Amino acid sequence: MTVTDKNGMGLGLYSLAVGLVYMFVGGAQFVNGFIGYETWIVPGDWFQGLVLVIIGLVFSWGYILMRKGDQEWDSYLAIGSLLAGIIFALYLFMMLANGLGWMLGFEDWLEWTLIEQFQPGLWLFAVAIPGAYLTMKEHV
Amino acid sequence: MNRVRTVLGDDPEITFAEKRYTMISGILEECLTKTETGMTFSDKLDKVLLNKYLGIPIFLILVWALFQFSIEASGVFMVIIETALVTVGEFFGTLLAGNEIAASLVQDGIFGGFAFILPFLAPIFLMFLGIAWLEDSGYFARAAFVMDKLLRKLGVHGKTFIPMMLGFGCNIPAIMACRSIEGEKDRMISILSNPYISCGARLPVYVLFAAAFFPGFEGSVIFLMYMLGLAVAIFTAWLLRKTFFKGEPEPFIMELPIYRVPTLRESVLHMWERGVVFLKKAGTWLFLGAIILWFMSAFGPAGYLGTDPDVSVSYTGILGGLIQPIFAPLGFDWRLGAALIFAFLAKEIAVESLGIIFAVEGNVAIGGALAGVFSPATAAAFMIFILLYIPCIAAVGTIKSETNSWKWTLFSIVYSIIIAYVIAAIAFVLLSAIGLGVIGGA
Repeated sequence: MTVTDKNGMGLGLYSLAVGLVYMFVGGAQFVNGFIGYETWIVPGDWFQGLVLVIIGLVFSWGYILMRKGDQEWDSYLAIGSLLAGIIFALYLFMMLANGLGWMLGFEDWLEWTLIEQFQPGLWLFAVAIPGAYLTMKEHV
Repeated sequence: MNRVRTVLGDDPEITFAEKRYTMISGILEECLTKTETGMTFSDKLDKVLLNKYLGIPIFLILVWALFQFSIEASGVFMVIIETALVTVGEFFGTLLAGNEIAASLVQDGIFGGFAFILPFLAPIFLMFLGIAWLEDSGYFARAAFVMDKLLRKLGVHGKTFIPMMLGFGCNIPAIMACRSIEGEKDRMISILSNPYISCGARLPVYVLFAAAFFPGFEGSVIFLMYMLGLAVAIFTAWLLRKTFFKGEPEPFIMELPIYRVPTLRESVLHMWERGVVFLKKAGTWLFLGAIILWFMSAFGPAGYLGTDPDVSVSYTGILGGLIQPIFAPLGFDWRLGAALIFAFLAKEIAVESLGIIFAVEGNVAIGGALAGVFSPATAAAFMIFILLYIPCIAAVGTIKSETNSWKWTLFSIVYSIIIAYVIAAIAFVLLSAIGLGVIGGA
Protein backbone atom coordinates (compact mmCIF):
# COMPACT_ATOMS: atom_id res chain seq x y z
CA MET A 1 0.00 0.00 0.00
CA THR A 2 1.15 3.56 -0.43
CA VAL A 3 2.73 4.63 2.81
CA THR A 4 3.48 8.31 3.12
CA ASP A 5 4.95 10.35 5.98
CA LYS A 6 1.42 11.57 6.64
CA ASN A 7 -0.28 8.21 7.02
CA GLY A 8 2.75 6.09 7.96
CA MET A 9 2.59 6.51 11.73
CA GLY A 10 -1.20 6.07 11.76
CA LEU A 11 -0.97 2.85 9.74
CA GLY A 12 1.87 1.63 11.92
CA LEU A 13 -0.16 2.20 15.09
CA TYR A 14 -3.14 0.51 13.47
CA SER A 15 -0.94 -2.51 12.62
CA LEU A 16 0.29 -2.66 16.22
CA ALA A 17 -3.24 -2.37 17.61
CA VAL A 18 -4.56 -5.17 15.37
CA GLY A 19 -1.53 -7.29 16.28
CA LEU A 20 -2.09 -6.82 20.00
CA VAL A 21 -5.80 -7.66 19.72
CA TYR A 22 -5.02 -10.88 17.80
CA MET A 23 -2.30 -11.84 20.27
CA PHE A 24 -4.50 -11.13 23.29
CA VAL A 25 -7.52 -13.09 22.02
CA GLY A 26 -5.29 -15.86 20.61
CA GLY A 27 -3.44 -16.07 23.93
CA ALA A 28 -6.75 -16.33 25.80
CA GLN A 29 -7.95 -19.08 23.45
CA PHE A 30 -4.63 -20.89 23.86
CA VAL A 31 -4.83 -20.75 27.67
CA ASN A 32 -8.53 -21.70 27.65
CA GLY A 33 -7.62 -24.75 25.58
CA PHE A 34 -5.21 -25.93 28.23
CA ILE A 35 -7.26 -25.23 31.34
CA GLY A 36 -10.55 -26.33 29.77
CA TYR A 37 -12.28 -22.98 30.33
CA GLU A 38 -14.90 -22.11 27.72
CA THR A 39 -16.74 -18.90 26.87
CA TRP A 40 -18.90 -18.57 23.77
CA ILE A 41 -16.79 -15.70 22.48
CA VAL A 42 -13.37 -17.27 23.18
CA PRO A 43 -13.72 -21.08 23.17
CA GLY A 44 -10.73 -23.11 24.32
CA ASP A 45 -8.50 -24.42 21.54
CA TRP A 46 -4.75 -24.11 21.95
CA PHE A 47 -4.07 -24.76 18.26
CA GLN A 48 -6.39 -22.04 16.98
CA GLY A 49 -5.10 -19.75 19.71
CA LEU A 50 -1.53 -20.28 18.54
CA VAL A 51 -2.53 -19.46 14.97
CA LEU A 52 -4.05 -16.13 16.09
CA VAL A 53 -0.96 -15.30 18.18
CA ILE A 54 1.29 -15.81 15.13
CA ILE A 55 -0.97 -13.59 12.99
CA GLY A 56 -0.81 -10.95 15.74
CA LEU A 57 2.96 -11.26 15.74
CA VAL A 58 3.11 -10.62 11.98
CA PHE A 59 1.03 -7.41 12.39
CA SER A 60 3.14 -6.19 15.32
CA TRP A 61 6.41 -6.99 13.55
CA GLY A 62 5.50 -4.37 10.94
CA TYR A 63 5.20 -1.69 13.60
CA ILE A 64 8.59 -2.60 15.10
CA LEU A 65 10.22 -2.32 11.67
CA MET A 66 8.48 1.00 11.03
CA ARG A 67 9.95 2.37 14.25
CA LYS A 68 13.36 1.23 13.02
CA GLY A 69 12.83 3.19 9.80
CA ASP A 70 12.38 0.19 7.47
CA GLN A 71 10.61 1.49 4.33
CA GLU A 72 9.04 -1.88 3.58
CA TRP A 73 7.40 -2.45 6.96
CA ASP A 74 3.94 -2.37 5.36
CA SER A 75 4.65 -5.84 3.86
CA TYR A 76 3.88 -7.19 7.35
CA LEU A 77 0.55 -5.38 7.46
CA ALA A 78 -0.29 -6.84 4.03
CA ILE A 79 0.66 -10.43 5.01
CA GLY A 80 -1.03 -10.11 8.41
CA SER A 81 -4.23 -8.98 6.66
CA LEU A 82 -3.91 -11.80 4.12
CA LEU A 83 -3.51 -14.45 6.85
CA ALA A 84 -6.39 -12.96 8.85
CA GLY A 85 -8.48 -13.06 5.66
CA ILE A 86 -7.58 -16.70 4.98
CA ILE A 87 -8.59 -17.75 8.50
CA PHE A 88 -11.83 -15.73 8.21
CA ALA A 89 -12.68 -17.35 4.85
CA LEU A 90 -11.90 -20.77 6.34
CA TYR A 91 -14.33 -20.33 9.25
CA LEU A 92 -16.96 -18.84 6.96
CA PHE A 93 -16.74 -21.88 4.67
CA MET A 94 -16.97 -24.22 7.66
CA MET A 95 -20.01 -22.31 8.91
CA LEU A 96 -21.74 -22.58 5.51
CA ALA A 97 -20.92 -26.32 5.20
CA ASN A 98 -22.22 -27.10 8.69
CA GLY A 99 -25.25 -24.88 8.08
CA LEU A 100 -26.01 -27.02 5.03
CA GLY A 101 -25.88 -30.17 7.21
CA TRP A 102 -28.32 -28.55 9.65
CA MET A 103 -30.65 -27.44 6.85
CA LEU A 104 -30.67 -30.96 5.36
CA GLY A 105 -31.55 -32.33 8.79
CA PHE A 106 -28.63 -34.77 9.11
CA GLU A 107 -28.41 -36.47 12.49
CA ASP A 108 -24.99 -35.09 13.46
CA TRP A 109 -26.10 -31.52 12.79
CA LEU A 110 -29.43 -31.54 14.61
CA GLU A 111 -27.95 -29.76 17.62
CA TRP A 112 -25.73 -27.48 15.57
CA THR A 113 -26.05 -23.77 16.33
CA LEU A 114 -24.62 -20.73 14.61
CA ILE A 115 -23.08 -19.51 17.88
CA GLU A 116 -20.77 -22.54 18.22
CA GLN A 117 -19.30 -21.65 14.83
CA PHE A 118 -18.61 -18.08 15.90
CA GLN A 119 -14.86 -18.60 16.37
CA PRO A 120 -12.48 -15.72 17.23
CA GLY A 121 -10.76 -16.13 13.83
CA LEU A 122 -14.10 -15.13 12.32
CA TRP A 123 -15.12 -12.09 14.33
CA LEU A 124 -11.57 -10.79 14.84
CA PHE A 125 -11.34 -10.18 11.11
CA ALA A 126 -13.55 -7.12 11.64
CA VAL A 127 -10.52 -5.26 13.05
CA ALA A 128 -8.29 -6.43 10.19
CA ILE A 129 -10.69 -5.35 7.41
CA PRO A 130 -9.13 -1.86 6.88
CA GLY A 131 -5.69 -3.44 6.41
CA ALA A 132 -7.09 -6.08 4.07
CA TYR A 133 -8.96 -3.39 2.12
CA LEU A 134 -5.82 -1.27 1.70
CA THR A 135 -3.82 -4.32 0.55
CA MET A 136 -6.51 -5.33 -1.95
CA LYS A 137 -6.85 -1.78 -3.24
CA GLU A 138 -3.15 -1.42 -3.79
CA HIS A 139 -2.14 -4.81 -5.16
CA VAL A 140 -5.04 -6.92 -6.41
CA MET B 1 33.86 -30.51 -11.08
CA ASN B 2 36.27 -31.03 -8.18
CA ARG B 3 38.99 -29.16 -10.11
CA VAL B 4 36.59 -26.26 -10.78
CA ARG B 5 35.67 -26.28 -7.08
CA THR B 6 39.37 -26.05 -6.11
CA VAL B 7 40.11 -23.25 -8.59
CA LEU B 8 37.03 -21.17 -7.72
CA GLY B 9 37.22 -21.83 -3.99
CA ASP B 10 33.43 -22.17 -3.88
CA ASP B 11 30.79 -24.54 -5.10
CA PRO B 12 30.68 -24.44 -8.94
CA GLU B 13 26.84 -24.51 -9.03
CA ILE B 14 26.67 -21.36 -6.89
CA THR B 15 29.46 -19.65 -8.84
CA PHE B 16 27.78 -20.44 -12.18
CA ALA B 17 24.44 -19.14 -10.89
CA GLU B 18 26.04 -15.93 -9.60
CA LYS B 19 27.85 -15.34 -12.91
CA ARG B 20 24.67 -16.07 -14.87
CA TYR B 21 22.62 -13.56 -12.86
CA THR B 22 25.40 -10.94 -12.99
CA MET B 23 25.34 -11.26 -16.77
CA ILE B 24 21.52 -11.00 -16.86
CA SER B 25 21.64 -7.88 -14.66
CA GLY B 26 24.25 -6.34 -16.94
CA ILE B 27 22.19 -6.96 -20.07
CA LEU B 28 19.06 -5.59 -18.36
CA GLU B 29 20.88 -2.44 -17.26
CA GLU B 30 21.97 -1.79 -20.82
CA CYS B 31 18.66 -2.38 -22.56
CA LEU B 32 15.97 -1.59 -19.96
CA THR B 33 14.93 1.80 -18.66
CA LYS B 34 13.36 1.58 -15.23
CA THR B 35 10.63 4.11 -14.62
CA GLU B 36 10.07 3.19 -11.00
CA THR B 37 12.39 1.83 -8.38
CA GLY B 38 11.49 -0.04 -5.24
CA MET B 39 10.25 -3.46 -4.37
CA THR B 40 7.59 -5.32 -6.33
CA PHE B 41 4.62 -6.83 -4.46
CA SER B 42 6.25 -10.27 -4.84
CA ASP B 43 9.43 -8.95 -3.19
CA LYS B 44 7.37 -7.44 -0.39
CA LEU B 45 5.56 -10.71 0.24
CA ASP B 46 8.86 -12.58 0.21
CA LYS B 47 10.23 -10.20 2.81
CA VAL B 48 7.67 -11.61 5.27
CA LEU B 49 7.06 -15.14 4.00
CA LEU B 50 10.79 -15.88 3.82
CA ASN B 51 11.51 -14.12 7.12
CA LYS B 52 14.10 -15.93 9.21
CA TYR B 53 11.79 -16.16 12.23
CA LEU B 54 8.27 -15.88 10.81
CA GLY B 55 8.71 -18.03 7.67
CA ILE B 56 8.22 -21.42 9.35
CA PRO B 57 5.33 -20.35 11.67
CA ILE B 58 3.50 -18.86 8.66
CA PHE B 59 4.09 -22.07 6.71
CA LEU B 60 2.60 -24.04 9.64
CA ILE B 61 -0.45 -21.72 9.78
CA LEU B 62 -1.13 -22.28 6.08
CA VAL B 63 -0.77 -26.08 6.38
CA TRP B 64 -3.04 -26.05 9.47
CA ALA B 65 -5.62 -23.98 7.57
CA LEU B 66 -5.40 -26.49 4.70
CA PHE B 67 -6.35 -29.38 7.00
CA GLN B 68 -9.06 -27.43 8.78
CA PHE B 69 -10.51 -26.62 5.36
CA SER B 70 -10.42 -30.19 4.09
CA ILE B 71 -11.47 -32.00 7.28
CA GLU B 72 -13.83 -29.79 9.26
CA ALA B 73 -15.79 -28.56 6.25
CA SER B 74 -16.14 -31.91 4.47
CA GLY B 75 -18.29 -33.76 7.04
CA VAL B 76 -21.63 -32.85 5.48
CA PHE B 77 -20.50 -33.83 1.97
CA MET B 78 -19.28 -37.17 3.32
CA VAL B 79 -22.72 -37.89 4.78
CA ILE B 80 -24.42 -36.99 1.48
CA ILE B 81 -22.21 -39.44 -0.49
CA GLU B 82 -22.55 -42.16 2.15
CA THR B 83 -26.34 -41.88 2.34
CA ALA B 84 -26.61 -42.16 -1.44
CA LEU B 85 -24.38 -45.28 -1.58
CA VAL B 86 -26.13 -47.06 1.30
CA THR B 87 -29.52 -46.40 -0.32
CA VAL B 88 -28.37 -47.79 -3.69
CA GLY B 89 -26.81 -50.82 -1.92
CA GLU B 90 -30.04 -51.55 -0.08
CA PHE B 91 -31.97 -51.31 -3.34
CA PHE B 92 -29.73 -53.89 -5.04
CA GLY B 93 -29.77 -56.04 -1.89
CA THR B 94 -33.58 -56.12 -2.10
CA LEU B 95 -33.44 -57.08 -5.80
CA LEU B 96 -31.18 -60.07 -4.95
CA ALA B 97 -33.10 -61.06 -1.83
CA GLY B 98 -33.64 -64.59 -3.16
CA ASN B 99 -29.92 -65.40 -3.14
CA GLU B 100 -28.43 -64.81 0.30
CA ILE B 101 -24.73 -64.98 -0.71
CA ALA B 102 -25.17 -62.75 -3.81
CA ALA B 103 -27.21 -60.21 -1.81
CA SER B 104 -24.53 -60.15 0.93
CA LEU B 105 -21.76 -59.74 -1.67
CA VAL B 106 -23.51 -56.82 -3.42
CA GLN B 107 -24.96 -55.04 -0.36
CA ASP B 108 -22.27 -55.68 2.30
CA GLY B 109 -19.23 -56.36 0.15
CA ILE B 110 -19.41 -54.03 -2.84
CA PHE B 111 -21.74 -51.16 -1.86
CA GLY B 112 -20.88 -51.53 1.86
CA GLY B 113 -17.18 -51.24 0.96
CA PHE B 114 -17.77 -48.25 -1.30
CA ALA B 115 -19.91 -46.59 1.38
CA PHE B 116 -16.86 -46.65 3.64
CA ILE B 117 -14.38 -45.37 1.07
CA LEU B 118 -16.09 -43.05 -1.41
CA PRO B 119 -17.31 -40.51 1.21
CA PHE B 120 -13.63 -39.70 1.74
CA LEU B 121 -13.59 -38.20 -1.73
CA ALA B 122 -14.92 -35.04 -0.05
CA PRO B 123 -11.92 -34.32 2.26
CA ILE B 124 -9.46 -35.62 -0.34
CA PHE B 125 -10.78 -33.33 -3.08
CA LEU B 126 -10.93 -30.35 -0.70
CA MET B 127 -7.34 -31.02 0.42
CA PHE B 128 -6.15 -31.20 -3.19
CA LEU B 129 -8.00 -27.95 -3.92
CA GLY B 130 -6.14 -26.29 -1.03
CA ILE B 131 -2.80 -27.71 -2.20
CA ALA B 132 -3.54 -26.45 -5.74
CA TRP B 133 -4.16 -22.94 -4.35
CA LEU B 134 -0.86 -22.96 -2.46
CA GLU B 135 0.97 -24.34 -5.48
CA ASP B 136 -0.59 -22.03 -8.08
CA SER B 137 -0.05 -18.93 -5.93
CA GLY B 138 3.71 -19.58 -6.00
CA TYR B 139 3.91 -20.28 -2.26
CA PHE B 140 4.99 -23.94 -2.45
CA ALA B 141 8.38 -22.99 -3.91
CA ARG B 142 8.82 -20.57 -0.97
CA ALA B 143 7.96 -23.34 1.49
CA ALA B 144 10.87 -25.38 0.13
CA PHE B 145 13.10 -22.32 0.40
CA VAL B 146 12.04 -21.65 4.00
CA MET B 147 12.58 -25.26 5.01
CA ASP B 148 15.96 -25.40 3.29
CA LYS B 149 17.56 -23.47 6.17
CA LEU B 150 16.31 -26.03 8.66
CA LEU B 151 17.05 -29.05 6.46
CA ARG B 152 20.57 -27.89 5.63
CA LYS B 153 21.40 -27.73 9.33
CA LEU B 154 20.45 -31.40 9.46
CA GLY B 155 22.60 -32.16 6.43
CA VAL B 156 19.61 -32.69 4.14
CA HIS B 157 19.27 -31.23 0.64
CA GLY B 158 16.69 -28.41 0.47
CA LYS B 159 15.25 -29.83 -2.75
CA THR B 160 14.17 -32.90 -0.75
CA PHE B 161 11.30 -30.80 0.58
CA ILE B 162 9.66 -30.48 -2.86
CA PRO B 163 9.01 -34.25 -3.24
CA MET B 164 7.94 -34.18 0.42
CA MET B 165 5.25 -31.60 -0.40
CA LEU B 166 4.16 -33.69 -3.40
CA GLY B 167 3.92 -36.65 -1.03
CA PHE B 168 0.94 -34.99 0.69
CA GLY B 169 -0.94 -35.98 -2.47
CA CYS B 170 0.58 -39.38 -3.28
CA ASN B 171 3.96 -40.90 -2.41
CA ILE B 172 4.39 -42.59 -5.78
CA PRO B 173 4.82 -39.47 -7.99
CA ALA B 174 6.67 -37.87 -5.06
CA ILE B 175 9.26 -40.68 -4.99
CA MET B 176 9.55 -40.44 -8.77
CA ALA B 177 10.06 -36.65 -8.46
CA CYS B 178 13.27 -37.37 -6.51
CA ARG B 179 14.88 -37.98 -9.94
CA SER B 180 15.29 -34.20 -10.19
CA ILE B 181 17.78 -34.23 -7.30
CA GLU B 182 21.26 -34.30 -8.78
CA GLY B 183 23.56 -35.95 -6.21
CA GLU B 184 23.14 -39.74 -5.88
CA LYS B 185 23.35 -39.63 -2.08
CA ASP B 186 20.85 -36.77 -1.86
CA ARG B 187 18.51 -38.61 -4.22
CA MET B 188 18.64 -41.84 -2.18
CA ILE B 189 18.00 -39.91 1.04
CA SER B 190 14.99 -38.21 -0.58
CA ILE B 191 13.53 -41.49 -1.87
CA LEU B 192 13.94 -43.36 1.42
CA SER B 193 12.56 -40.56 3.59
CA ASN B 194 9.52 -39.77 1.40
CA PRO B 195 7.19 -42.65 2.41
CA TYR B 196 6.71 -41.10 5.88
CA ILE B 197 4.99 -38.08 4.36
CA SER B 198 1.29 -38.65 4.85
CA CYS B 199 -0.42 -39.20 1.50
CA GLY B 200 -4.12 -38.74 0.69
CA ALA B 201 -4.75 -42.48 1.13
CA ARG B 202 -4.03 -42.26 4.87
CA LEU B 203 -6.53 -39.43 5.27
CA PRO B 204 -9.68 -41.65 5.47
CA VAL B 205 -8.16 -43.53 8.42
CA TYR B 206 -7.37 -40.28 10.27
CA VAL B 207 -10.78 -38.77 9.52
CA LEU B 208 -12.54 -41.88 10.85
CA PHE B 209 -10.46 -42.23 14.03
CA ALA B 210 -10.13 -38.50 14.80
CA ALA B 211 -13.91 -37.99 14.51
CA ALA B 212 -14.63 -41.03 16.67
CA PHE B 213 -12.03 -40.44 19.40
CA PHE B 214 -11.21 -36.72 19.36
CA PRO B 215 -14.49 -34.97 18.45
CA GLY B 216 -14.17 -31.20 18.04
CA PHE B 217 -10.41 -31.46 17.46
CA GLU B 218 -10.36 -33.50 14.25
CA GLY B 219 -8.58 -30.86 12.16
CA SER B 220 -5.86 -30.25 14.73
CA VAL B 221 -5.32 -33.99 15.39
CA ILE B 222 -4.96 -34.64 11.66
CA PHE B 223 -2.63 -31.65 11.32
CA LEU B 224 -0.48 -33.24 14.06
CA MET B 225 -0.41 -36.53 12.15
CA TYR B 226 0.86 -34.76 9.04
CA MET B 227 3.46 -32.88 11.07
CA LEU B 228 4.58 -36.14 12.70
CA GLY B 229 5.03 -37.68 9.25
CA LEU B 230 7.07 -34.66 8.18
CA ALA B 231 9.20 -34.84 11.35
CA VAL B 232 9.88 -38.58 10.88
CA ALA B 233 10.77 -37.99 7.21
CA ILE B 234 13.26 -35.26 8.21
CA PHE B 235 14.64 -37.42 11.04
CA THR B 236 15.08 -40.36 8.65
CA ALA B 237 16.85 -38.12 6.14
CA TRP B 238 19.17 -36.88 8.90
CA LEU B 239 19.84 -40.45 10.10
CA LEU B 240 20.66 -41.67 6.59
CA ARG B 241 23.01 -38.71 6.09
CA LYS B 242 24.83 -39.51 9.33
CA THR B 243 25.11 -43.24 8.61
CA PHE B 244 24.85 -44.64 5.08
CA PHE B 245 25.15 -41.53 2.94
CA LYS B 246 27.80 -39.42 4.65
CA GLY B 247 28.87 -36.12 3.10
CA GLU B 248 27.66 -32.61 2.49
CA PRO B 249 24.41 -31.99 0.60
CA GLU B 250 24.69 -30.51 -2.89
CA PRO B 251 23.92 -26.74 -3.08
CA PHE B 252 20.27 -25.78 -3.50
CA ILE B 253 19.64 -23.21 -6.21
CA MET B 254 16.08 -22.43 -7.09
CA GLU B 255 14.30 -19.73 -9.06
CA LEU B 256 11.27 -18.46 -7.18
CA PRO B 257 8.22 -17.79 -9.35
CA ILE B 258 6.37 -14.50 -8.84
CA TYR B 259 3.19 -14.64 -6.75
CA ARG B 260 -0.13 -14.61 -8.51
CA VAL B 261 -3.77 -15.02 -7.60
CA PRO B 262 -4.75 -18.63 -8.51
CA THR B 263 -7.64 -18.95 -10.93
CA LEU B 264 -10.56 -21.17 -9.95
CA ARG B 265 -10.42 -23.05 -13.27
CA GLU B 266 -6.75 -23.99 -12.91
CA SER B 267 -7.10 -24.92 -9.25
CA VAL B 268 -10.12 -27.14 -9.92
CA LEU B 269 -8.26 -28.76 -12.80
CA HIS B 270 -5.25 -29.52 -10.60
CA MET B 271 -7.56 -30.80 -7.86
CA TRP B 272 -9.27 -33.11 -10.35
CA GLU B 273 -5.97 -34.42 -11.79
CA ARG B 274 -4.86 -35.54 -8.33
CA GLY B 275 -8.24 -36.58 -6.94
CA VAL B 276 -9.12 -38.73 -9.93
CA VAL B 277 -6.24 -41.05 -8.99
CA PHE B 278 -8.15 -41.89 -5.80
CA LEU B 279 -11.34 -42.36 -7.80
CA LYS B 280 -9.60 -44.76 -10.21
CA LYS B 281 -8.13 -46.64 -7.27
CA ALA B 282 -11.62 -46.96 -5.78
CA GLY B 283 -12.83 -48.52 -9.02
CA THR B 284 -9.96 -51.04 -9.23
CA TRP B 285 -7.85 -51.84 -6.16
CA LEU B 286 -10.45 -50.88 -3.58
CA PHE B 287 -13.19 -52.72 -5.49
CA LEU B 288 -11.00 -55.83 -5.59
CA GLY B 289 -10.08 -55.31 -1.94
CA ALA B 290 -13.77 -55.08 -1.00
CA ILE B 291 -14.52 -58.43 -2.65
CA ILE B 292 -11.49 -60.17 -1.08
CA LEU B 293 -12.37 -58.68 2.29
CA TRP B 294 -16.00 -59.73 2.03
CA PHE B 295 -14.97 -63.28 1.06
CA MET B 296 -12.42 -63.59 3.88
CA SER B 297 -14.89 -62.21 6.44
CA ALA B 298 -17.99 -64.11 5.24
CA PHE B 299 -16.20 -67.45 4.91
CA GLY B 300 -14.07 -69.47 7.30
CA PRO B 301 -12.75 -73.03 7.54
CA ALA B 302 -16.36 -74.03 8.28
CA GLY B 303 -17.62 -72.49 5.00
CA TYR B 304 -20.14 -69.62 4.58
CA LEU B 305 -20.80 -68.02 7.96
CA GLY B 306 -24.26 -66.57 7.23
CA THR B 307 -25.70 -63.06 6.89
CA ASP B 308 -24.57 -61.80 10.31
CA PRO B 309 -21.29 -63.68 10.64
CA ASP B 310 -19.00 -63.99 13.64
CA VAL B 311 -15.94 -62.53 11.87
CA SER B 312 -13.57 -63.79 14.60
CA VAL B 313 -13.93 -67.34 13.17
CA SER B 314 -13.58 -66.20 9.55
CA TYR B 315 -10.35 -66.20 7.56
CA THR B 316 -9.97 -62.48 8.41
CA GLY B 317 -10.31 -63.27 12.13
CA ILE B 318 -7.75 -66.07 11.89
CA LEU B 319 -5.30 -63.81 10.04
CA GLY B 320 -5.76 -60.96 12.53
CA GLY B 321 -5.38 -63.39 15.44
CA LEU B 322 -2.01 -64.54 14.13
CA ILE B 323 -0.42 -61.10 14.44
CA GLN B 324 -2.46 -59.88 17.42
CA PRO B 325 0.15 -60.84 20.08
CA ILE B 326 2.74 -58.60 18.38
CA PHE B 327 0.42 -55.59 18.61
CA ALA B 328 -1.11 -56.30 22.02
CA PRO B 329 1.30 -53.83 23.76
CA LEU B 330 -0.23 -51.06 21.58
CA GLY B 331 -3.77 -52.03 22.60
CA PHE B 332 -4.60 -53.52 19.15
CA ASP B 333 -6.81 -56.59 18.99
CA TRP B 334 -7.19 -59.02 16.05
CA ARG B 335 -9.51 -56.58 14.25
CA LEU B 336 -6.96 -53.75 14.06
CA GLY B 337 -4.27 -56.35 13.26
CA ALA B 338 -6.30 -57.64 10.29
CA ALA B 339 -6.94 -54.05 9.11
CA LEU B 340 -3.16 -53.41 9.11
CA ILE B 341 -2.53 -56.48 6.94
CA PHE B 342 -5.13 -55.46 4.34
CA ALA B 343 -3.95 -51.83 4.42
CA PHE B 344 -0.68 -52.94 2.82
CA LEU B 345 -2.61 -53.14 -0.49
CA ALA B 346 -3.73 -49.51 -0.06
CA LYS B 347 -4.01 -47.64 3.22
CA GLU B 348 -7.69 -46.73 2.72
CA ILE B 349 -8.58 -50.43 2.85
CA ALA B 350 -8.06 -50.25 6.63
CA VAL B 351 -11.35 -48.32 6.86
CA GLU B 352 -13.14 -50.73 4.54
CA SER B 353 -11.89 -53.77 6.45
CA LEU B 354 -12.92 -52.33 9.83
CA GLY B 355 -16.39 -51.66 8.40
CA ILE B 356 -16.73 -55.26 7.24
CA ILE B 357 -15.23 -56.72 10.43
CA PHE B 358 -17.56 -54.68 12.66
CA ALA B 359 -20.46 -55.45 10.29
CA VAL B 360 -21.87 -51.92 10.39
CA GLU B 361 -22.93 -49.54 7.64
CA GLY B 362 -21.56 -46.02 7.30
CA ASN B 363 -18.69 -44.13 8.88
CA VAL B 364 -20.71 -42.73 11.78
CA ALA B 365 -21.72 -46.26 12.80
CA ILE B 366 -18.20 -47.62 12.50
CA GLY B 367 -16.84 -44.64 14.44
CA GLY B 368 -19.28 -45.40 17.24
CA ALA B 369 -18.37 -49.09 17.15
CA LEU B 370 -14.64 -48.31 17.36
CA ALA B 371 -15.10 -45.82 20.22
CA GLY B 372 -16.98 -48.48 22.16
CA VAL B 373 -14.12 -50.97 21.92
CA PHE B 374 -10.84 -49.03 21.86
CA SER B 375 -9.34 -46.21 23.93
CA PRO B 376 -8.16 -42.86 22.43
CA ALA B 377 -4.57 -43.97 23.17
CA THR B 378 -5.05 -47.10 21.04
CA ALA B 379 -6.69 -44.98 18.32
CA ALA B 380 -3.72 -42.59 18.26
CA ALA B 381 -1.26 -45.52 18.18
CA PHE B 382 -3.21 -47.05 15.27
CA MET B 383 -3.21 -43.75 13.32
CA ILE B 384 0.54 -43.42 13.90
CA PHE B 385 1.18 -47.01 12.81
CA ILE B 386 -0.90 -46.48 9.65
CA LEU B 387 1.05 -43.27 8.97
CA LEU B 388 4.51 -44.76 9.35
CA TYR B 389 4.54 -48.47 8.53
CA ILE B 390 5.23 -49.83 5.03
CA PRO B 391 3.71 -47.59 2.36
CA CYS B 392 1.25 -49.30 0.02
CA ILE B 393 2.36 -52.07 -2.31
CA ALA B 394 2.57 -49.68 -5.29
CA ALA B 395 4.87 -47.30 -3.37
CA VAL B 396 7.15 -50.23 -2.43
CA GLY B 397 7.34 -51.12 -6.14
CA THR B 398 8.26 -47.50 -6.94
CA ILE B 399 11.01 -47.49 -4.28
CA LYS B 400 12.42 -50.66 -5.88
CA SER B 401 12.38 -49.18 -9.39
CA GLU B 402 13.79 -45.79 -8.31
CA THR B 403 16.58 -47.14 -6.07
CA ASN B 404 17.15 -50.11 -8.39
CA SER B 405 18.02 -52.05 -5.27
CA TRP B 406 16.26 -54.82 -3.34
CA LYS B 407 18.57 -54.06 -0.43
CA TRP B 408 17.29 -50.51 0.00
CA THR B 409 13.69 -51.55 -0.66
CA LEU B 410 13.93 -54.16 2.09
CA PHE B 411 15.63 -51.62 4.34
CA SER B 412 12.75 -49.22 3.76
CA ILE B 413 10.18 -51.88 4.71
CA VAL B 414 11.96 -53.11 7.85
CA TYR B 415 12.92 -49.62 9.06
CA SER B 416 9.37 -48.33 8.55
CA ILE B 417 7.86 -51.15 10.61
CA ILE B 418 10.36 -50.62 13.43
CA ILE B 419 9.94 -46.84 13.57
CA ALA B 420 6.13 -47.15 13.31
CA TYR B 421 6.06 -49.62 16.19
CA VAL B 422 8.40 -47.60 18.41
CA ILE B 423 6.62 -44.25 17.91
CA ALA B 424 3.14 -45.81 18.21
CA ALA B 425 4.24 -47.50 21.46
CA ILE B 426 5.63 -44.22 22.85
CA ALA B 427 2.38 -42.40 21.96
CA PHE B 428 0.29 -45.20 23.51
CA VAL B 429 2.25 -45.09 26.78
CA LEU B 430 2.25 -41.27 26.99
CA LEU B 431 -1.46 -40.92 26.20
CA SER B 432 -2.34 -43.73 28.61
CA ALA B 433 -0.35 -41.92 31.30
CA ILE B 434 -2.54 -38.81 30.90
CA GLY B 435 -5.77 -40.77 31.20
CA LEU B 436 -6.54 -41.48 27.54
CA GLY B 437 -5.90 -45.21 27.91
CA VAL B 438 -9.46 -46.03 28.93
CA ILE B 439 -12.37 -46.66 26.60
CA GLY B 440 -14.44 -43.49 26.19
CA GLY B 441 -11.70 -41.40 27.84
CA ALA B 442 -11.24 -38.67 25.23
